[in-house]
Order: sequence, then C-alpha cells, then structure tokens
Amino acid sequence: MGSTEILKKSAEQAIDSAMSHSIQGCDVIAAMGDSFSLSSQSGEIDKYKVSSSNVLGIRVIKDQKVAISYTESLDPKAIDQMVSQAIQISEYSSRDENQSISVKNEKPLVEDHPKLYKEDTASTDEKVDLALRLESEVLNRDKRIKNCPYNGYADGESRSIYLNHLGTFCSHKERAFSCYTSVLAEDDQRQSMFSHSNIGRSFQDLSVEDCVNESVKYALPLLEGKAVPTGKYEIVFDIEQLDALLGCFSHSFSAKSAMEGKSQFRDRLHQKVANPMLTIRDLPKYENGFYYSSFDDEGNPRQDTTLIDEGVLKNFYHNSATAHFFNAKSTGHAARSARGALSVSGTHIVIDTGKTSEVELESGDYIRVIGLKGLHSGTNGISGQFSLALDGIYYKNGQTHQYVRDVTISGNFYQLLDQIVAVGDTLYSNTSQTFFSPKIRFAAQSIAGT
Amino acid sequence: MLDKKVAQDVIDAGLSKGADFVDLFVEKSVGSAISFVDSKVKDIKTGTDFGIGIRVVFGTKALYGYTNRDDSDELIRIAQLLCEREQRERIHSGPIDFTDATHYHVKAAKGLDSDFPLDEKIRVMTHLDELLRKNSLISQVDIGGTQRWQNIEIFNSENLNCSEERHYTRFSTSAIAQDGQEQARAYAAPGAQGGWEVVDAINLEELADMLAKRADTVLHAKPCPAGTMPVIIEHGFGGVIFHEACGHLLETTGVEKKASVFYDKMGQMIANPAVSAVDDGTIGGTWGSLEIDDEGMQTQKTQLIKDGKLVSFMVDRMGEIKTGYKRTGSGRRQSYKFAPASRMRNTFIEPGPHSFDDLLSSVDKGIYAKILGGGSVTPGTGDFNFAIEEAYLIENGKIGDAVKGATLIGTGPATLEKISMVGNNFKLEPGMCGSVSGSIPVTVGQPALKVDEILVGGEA
Repeated sequence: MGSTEILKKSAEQAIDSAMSHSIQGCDVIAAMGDSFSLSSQSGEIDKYKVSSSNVLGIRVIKDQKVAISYTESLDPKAIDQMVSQAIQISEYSSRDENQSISVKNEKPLVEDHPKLYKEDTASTDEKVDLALRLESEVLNRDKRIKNCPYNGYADGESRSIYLNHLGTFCSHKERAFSCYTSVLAEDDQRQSMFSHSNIGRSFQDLSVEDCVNESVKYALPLLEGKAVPTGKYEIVFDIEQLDALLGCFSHSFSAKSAMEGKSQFRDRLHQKVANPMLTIRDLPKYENGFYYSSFDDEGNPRQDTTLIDEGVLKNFYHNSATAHFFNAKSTGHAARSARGALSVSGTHIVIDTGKTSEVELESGDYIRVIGLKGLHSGTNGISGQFSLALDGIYYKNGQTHQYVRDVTISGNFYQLLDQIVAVGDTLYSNTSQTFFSPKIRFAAQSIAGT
Repeated sequence: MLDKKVAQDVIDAGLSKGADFVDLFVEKSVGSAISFVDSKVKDIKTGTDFGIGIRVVFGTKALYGYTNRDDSDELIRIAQLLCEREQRERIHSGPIDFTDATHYHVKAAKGLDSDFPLDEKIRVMTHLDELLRKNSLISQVDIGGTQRWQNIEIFNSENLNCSEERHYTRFSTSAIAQDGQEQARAYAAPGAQGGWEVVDAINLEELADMLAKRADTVLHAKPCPAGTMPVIIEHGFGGVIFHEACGHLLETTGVEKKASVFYDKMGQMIANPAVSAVDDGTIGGTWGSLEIDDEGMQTQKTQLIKDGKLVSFMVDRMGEIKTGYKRTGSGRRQSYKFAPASRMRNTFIEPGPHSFDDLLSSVDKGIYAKILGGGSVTPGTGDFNFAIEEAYLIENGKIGDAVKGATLIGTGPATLEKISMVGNNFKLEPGMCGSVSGSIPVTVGQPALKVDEILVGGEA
C-alpha cells in the first residue's frame, strides 16, 4: 500500500469512528514525510540526518462546538483514542456559529503537479559533494573569510491528504531540495556575516555558485560598513527584505485577525489604505510560484485574490468560517495543519509593476536595505510599529557612497504603505519564489546611527 | 517506554558498524492547548507525539535519524542507514547492559496525567477575561493555556538508561487596547514546571491590572528618540539581552565552529568586573530546569562569567568531543526530531549591590527599558537587536514620558563591558528559545542593569 493509501485508510477509520458519536461533522488532515539533511565542517560531513514521520489530526464539530486532536501513531488503537479525546474535549468548547464542514466534492482532487514533485535522481555522494563544496568554495574566495559556520543541504518528500465526512478527498505530494551557506569574514577585528540559500524542486535546481556568490557579495564589503548619521533617508528594500518585512504584517490581510479585532484593516474594506501606486494580489496558481496549490485545507478551490487595488483594500484572506462571519465568500485560503486549528494563510504575493524606470528609481540619495535583523521581535503586528537593525548601502547621486551597518530603521507598516515614492517597472522574485515585486522606493524613514 | 532488548539491538547495530558511540532518545509527549478569544473558548487542542531519535557518532561526526515507529526492524534500518558511509571495523567490544536504570520525576498535582477538569481551567480564563475587559480601552483579550507532559527515556552505548517525566504549564495573555484606529498590545506569559497549579498561583487581579495599564501606556506613548545613550534595563525579562547577546555565544554549538566571538576567550575578561553570570538547571520548578539533560547527564549549575572573566562554556557531548571542555549537562532538544545541542537552561546575571534608585539617579538623559520584547543575535559577529515593549525616557534621574518603537542594537562583547552598575532586585522570567535543536523552555533573568552607552533605534 502506498503512503497516500495508508493515510486515506487511517483517515477513513478516524472519520467512521467519530461519526458514530452523533456529531455534526469532522475532517481529517494527515501527512507523511521523509527527509534527509547534512552539513559540513572543516572539509568533512559533521552532521547527517534522516527521518520518516507521520501525523494525523481530526477536527470534530459536535453541537456546534469544535475540538481538535492528533496522533503521530497510525495504529488503529491510537486513532480511536485520538477520536475519543476530540469528542470528550468538544463538550468544553464554546459554540462556534461560524465553523462548519460543508465542502462536498464528487471527485477526488489529486495534486501531483510535476512543478511540485519530481523524482530524486541525485545520489547521496552528489549531495555530500554539494555540502562539501558549499564550505570549501566559500573559504577559498578571499583570505578575509575566516569561517563558513553554517552550511548544509536538505531534501524532503511529503504527502498529505484531506478527507471529510461528506467524502471530499484531496491529496497533495511534493518534494523540495535546498542548500545554504554562510560567510564569516574578519578584518582588523571587525566581523561581518552573511548567508544565502537556494530552494528548488529538483537537485539540479540548486546552485553552489549562486549560494556562494550571494553570501560573499555582501559579507566582504560590510567589513568596511559603518553607521550613517541619525536622520531620515529614502529607502529601497531588496526583494528578500521587502518580503520579510511585509510578511511580518501579513496578518493584516487575514479575515481571522479582523474577526478577532487584531487587524487595523478590519473596518477599512473598500477604503484607501495605501498609496494608489500599490496593488497587491495573492495568486495561488502563479505560474512561476513555488507553492502552486489548487485547493485549501478545507477542500475549497483556491482563488486569485486582490488584497489592495491601487491603494484600496479590496479583500481579506477567507476560510469558510471567516466568510460566514463577514457574510463574504471564501477565497480558498483556509489553513490547518494536522495539529492545528482552522486559520487562514496566503500563498504567492504578487505586487504589480509600476511605471518608473529602474534608472530613475535608483537615482539621487537613498539607502538600499540588504539585510534586516530582529524581524520576529522588532515588529509589532498590532500597532504596525517596526524598529530593526539594518545592513545596507548608502547611495548618493545614484552612486555607492558607503556600506551601512550598526544602524536601525524605524517606522510604521500602516504608514509605510502610503509612503511610496515610486514603483519600478521590472518584476523580481525572492529566492524561494513565493514573493514577486518590483523595486519600491519609500519616502524618508527614521534611521538611527551616529 | 522502549523495550530494553530492542534498545540493545539497535545500539549494537550501530556499534557493529564501528561507531564510537550510539544513543537513543525515546519520547512520548502529551500536549493540550486551550485558546480563549472573544470571551469564549475558541478551540481546544490535544494530541500525542511519539518518536525515537537515534544518534550514531564516528569521531567528530554526529549522524542522526528519527522515526515514529518503535519496532526493532525500523530502528535497526535507520541505525544502519546512518552508518552506511562511515562503517569500519568494530571498536566497542563490551556488552550493553541496562540493568541500572534511573527514573526522575517532576511532581505535578494537576498535570495532564491527572483528572483535573477542563472546566476549572476555562473558569480561570473567563475570570481573567472579565477582569481585563473592565478597562474600557481593552478591545480584545486572547488567553492561552498550554500544558505539556513529556516522558523521555535515554539509552546509550555506555550502559546508561535513564528516564524523566516533565510537566510544563504556561498561561499566556494578550490584551489589545484600541483608541480610534490605533491599537497596542500588552503580553505576559508566566509559566513553570508543574501542572495547572502553576496557574492557580498567579494573582489574576494583578496580572489584569498590569496588562491593561501597559497596553494603555503603549497606546498613548510618543515615538522614542533615536541615538546612542545610557539605558537602564529592568530586572526579569530584561535578562533576554544577556541570553541572546552573550548566552548563545557561550554554547559550544557555536564555539566548536568558531562561530562565536568568545571561542578563544576562556579565562579572559570578557565583561565589566561588575558582571557575574550563571546558567543553572537545578532551580526546582523553574521553567528551564531539568533533572537530566536530553543526553541523560544530571543537570548542574554552571558559572559562566565570574567578575567579568569567562570561566565556562555550556557543553554537550559533541561539544566536549570537539572542544575538549567538560560536559555541563547542557545537551537539550525540542523533541526526538532534533539531535541534542548545547543550550541554555535558566541563564542570568547575578545580583549586584545597587538599588534601582542608584541606577536611575546616575542617568541624566537616557531610556528606561521596563519590559523587553524578544531579540536575536548573529553568533559570528555578536551583533544583537532587541525590541523594547514598554519604555520611558529618563531625564535628570527621573522616569519621564512613555515612548514606543524603541530597539536596542549593539554587540555582545561591547555591551558586556559597558554594564557599569548591577542592581539588587533580581527576578527570573520564562521564555522559549529557538536554535539548532528546536524550541525549548528556558528562563532568563537579571537584576536591573545600567548600560552606559547603547544605540537606541527610534524616530530620527
């Protein structure tokens, strides 16, 4: 029996068992995966890891009360115990008028798109060689590079299924490959560190050269970096940094956050919330995207969703529960893991290109942000405040003036959306191909330095 | 949890391939989480994790695998797979004997192994929600009660067989204050080893009052000025700055790779002489304490810095092999899915001689960081950054207006030298620490500290 069949059989057992308890409905998410990873140190493989794992989780709705339980064991006894726990704890939940399990698809949705799953044709020796080269090629680049402390290779295969009491069945399988390396450079007692990663759907998608080049590119000039005087500077974020910063506030577009009063956008639908030059969309089936996905974790088909259209808030990410609350339609953005409660999440973010040429966008004086630190702590998702350590390049008259470090950038996300000076005419992708945006130049932000 | 004969066979499978050392980490964890939002139970989750991690060591190489299955065929398959590229003649010839097993048990009156009723827990949450909503500015309350009952068992090729039963309980609360479109959040998450009695010990009235006041303060705070200035960091969670900026640099996980700026500083002055620091796993009932670490070694109190001098790193088994420093019972991991690594337990700067007023009166113009948020550090350079959740201006030795949007940035070594005054008001606070071996419970702590000069990010 294949892994998808094993998961489906276990899920059917869980659903049959749950439905015998006079419940309204239930659904199961189950996943199985294998992974392999290794890292090198001083020219040898120092860590080598293999794993196989599975998990199955059930959501039960009884008397309009919701409970979630999971197990990592797929033996029938453990599944029965999980179901009993879910039924038992559902008594203590409050009534939730919004959640329901109602997606009924006649045909199974099987996602085995070749974009997501390719055979692994690389040998273990090739993978070991890649990990060793990541380290050795970094160390051979420049005498100021003292160490390559973090480097490695990983691949993994996962299969997941969704099954509900109405018979809706969806399955998904994917395989991913990744590698990363870092550069610790030192000169005159000054250190700098930079890292870079690659991700792909096949081993051949990984590039040691790209990883090493990108890590070295900034680590060495940052040795000469210094703080700029405290003041206000116009800002252009590199694509990875723009993705990281916007990602910290992505919950603003969550209908669940809005429903719970945790988003400042809650009452601003169809109002201006950003500069008219800004249009943001979520495109689950974006041709160049890494997370191609045709159904969500409730079995709903995913939909392209415009979040901001020329500065106006057009929609939120919805699942069926938030859609019920707001009297809206689900956008197919339900998110639930085997262990978790129903939520929402985005897929590929695509920001529309603008009309400004790159030459024009990168003229004059500004700071280009090449690194942001402390994103998990220096951003306040509720107030929109952010205050982060920054690595960057200060341009004067469009020319590199100095590398910048030991400074912070502070601002407010909700204000930043309106502080756009120009949007470039060329689209870029982040490394993981989940965020697509032109370069955006923002009005002067507070920089604390010397 | 795992049959001893199976453990012996798996370990022998590794040793027969010439491994220097083999260990097994068997884990069964039961978890429960209640989410209380919008004045009602949002959802209740429960589940069981079970798995076994196998580590095989050849020289300085650590090979690791895990599975959810406990049958000997699967476990031996993984052990042999791990050894495939390294196998050689058998070195370890002695018999494996698990006759002397040791069991450790942290007591919990209301742990997940008890029948303590769910509705009692919900009643506490309902009461806290009501207390917070008495404040008209509070627009939302989000309460979470999480418990974990973790059973671990360790077997290794040095005939060690030991187990520990651990109970953890944490009670998190977010209060959101709203004024027009503006929102601000205050957060607290007390926690300790033990069952629901940990929550029973919390004074809910004080907690609600503190959170409502803080959310109100942050909501109406003005932007923090930017620049380099003296900062007083309050006791308790202020210790996160030592944890991130220095603690991580003293773990052999970074030291063994020379990825810590302190890797070659043993015995040298690395801090102001006013600073002594400890990592102590032995403080009973505390969130970061253990009886044994996740490699089966009894935990201990480790003096890291004494009067400014570096006297010890935190060392796990691989750290000892790679650096030569003796193990300190610091091998920790989130679960069986992670190989152990040297990690912190309860890490703090020890109290000093000064009153809080002494510290305050020594500053003409600066920042009082009352509650720190989280932060991060780049180990190779020691660069750190921390958000301040609740901050005030200090003017002429007095606490002034509240400010928001402040961040502290600097480097660990430089900041350690600039701690010129250490207060006498010591406190510990729980937190979760993420690193190479996953997310683990740790405690941070310190008395109030004065840092003479640090870059504060704010509005220019």
